[in-house]
Amino acid sequence: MADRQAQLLRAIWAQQPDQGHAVPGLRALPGQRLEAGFAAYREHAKALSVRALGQAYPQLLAHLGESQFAGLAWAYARAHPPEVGDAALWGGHLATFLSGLDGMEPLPPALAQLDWALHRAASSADAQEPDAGLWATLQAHPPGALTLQVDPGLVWLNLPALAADTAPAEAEASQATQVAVWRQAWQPTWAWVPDDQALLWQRLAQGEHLGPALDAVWAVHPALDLAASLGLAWQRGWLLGAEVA
Amino acid sequence: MHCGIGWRHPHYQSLLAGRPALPFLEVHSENFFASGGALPALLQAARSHYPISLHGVGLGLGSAAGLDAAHLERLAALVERTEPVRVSDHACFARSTDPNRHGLDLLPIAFDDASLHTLQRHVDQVQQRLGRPILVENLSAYLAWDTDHIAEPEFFNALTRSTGCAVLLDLNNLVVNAKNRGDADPLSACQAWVDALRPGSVGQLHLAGHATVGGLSIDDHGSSVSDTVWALHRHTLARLGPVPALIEWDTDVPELDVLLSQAAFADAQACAVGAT
Repeated sequence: MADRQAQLLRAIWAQQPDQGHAVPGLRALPGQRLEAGFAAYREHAKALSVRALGQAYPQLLAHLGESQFAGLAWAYARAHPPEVGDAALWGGHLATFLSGLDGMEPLPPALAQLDWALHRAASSADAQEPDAGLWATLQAHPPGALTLQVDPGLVWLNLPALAADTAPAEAEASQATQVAVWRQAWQPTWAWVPDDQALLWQRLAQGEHLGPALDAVWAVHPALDLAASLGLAWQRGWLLGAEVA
Repeated sequence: MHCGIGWRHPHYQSLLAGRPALPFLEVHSENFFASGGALPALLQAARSHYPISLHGVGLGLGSAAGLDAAHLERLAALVERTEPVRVSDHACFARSTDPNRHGLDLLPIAFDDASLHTLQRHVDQVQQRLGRPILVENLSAYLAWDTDHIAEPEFFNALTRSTGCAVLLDLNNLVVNAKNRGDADPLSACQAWVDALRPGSVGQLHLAGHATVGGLSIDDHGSSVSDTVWALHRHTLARLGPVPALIEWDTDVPELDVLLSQAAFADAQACAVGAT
């Protein structure tokens, strides 16, 4: 039976439908055609693909329009069928899939990357409450003695195509190509971040001590303003605490 | 009160704002699997006003490849934090491991001994993990298997007798199946199906609408409960006594008042037959 079930699943999500004829033991309901019964499941898979991916990729959907997105969703579904029973976890390869399509512009994959990061941020584990003693610790110790605790849900994306196409003024002002995605309270959020700050927070998120991280960033971006960067991170909820190393 | 409603996204806020009198809300378990964010908090808010019934669509209890252990763990965590009045899923298969795939659909099982044993084993596994009995829903199915030889009510009787689970009896699915089989009198066929169940084995009813597409009745949960399903509801309550029911409406979800009026109608039917 496991083999028969696997074959029906394979047939439903196949590139070219065989109407279920190749699934051993599968039969039509009395008075119905096998093709009609099979089509009910195939059409459900198609509709579900559009619905589930549309929820995960709202900006991409708006950019492409409903018709083009529906075609994309079904093409993706047949190339990367779901593997687990929670539809919200399905679709993480769409940006890569888009990039591999002939003639694809750079913007749709960038939008897909951003959409997916926001989608996952919406349901990520709640971060711990920030440490109320954080600023006292920062003021009491030199940077080289500290390790900062960064929100583990903070995600970084390098999206030059998005910068060029969708936020020219903002991106040009700071020459930013890095996008931070996080959840502010319950709201998935994103922002362009100047490259110097992005580099600092990426290093800190990897557990690097503040001192060496700063040295590395200042070597490339000597104008980095640490106080401003810490203040912004605090307001955005990226910075949860500080420990003396 | 007898009848609750399925609580879906369009009514997440309006229901909590108005807090209409309802005996319980049913949610799709997988929609609340997230470990953080707005949805778990929303469910906790609902839970402080209504009993919650968790209805799963992803376990695939009849999957011969076995259950997804990670999925079961996420369900167990949700059950622990929600303390629902009921936990349910379907007598369907959904997944395979070669290739690793999940249909995100309720796919038909064979009504044979092998399927029964698979379902028994998986219901046992789920109940052991959750530490409580679950309910298992009968499907609407558009295809069948050549090994089918156990009548569906008998299949459920064997399942409930051996595992201690209960049936989540979807009356709309019975009507859809009867129509698709071409039964001359779908209502009579469904009444016979209900009458063949073991007394006391049904834990909840589902009431929903269906559509006709290309000559096939499709259980799309996208319209009002049909007259045939209402007639079957009356019969079922007269036969089984007080069993909670639910209005299930998942596509083209109407205004909340429409759902509430459907639930009120179900309540009135329950009163009329003394099943409250």
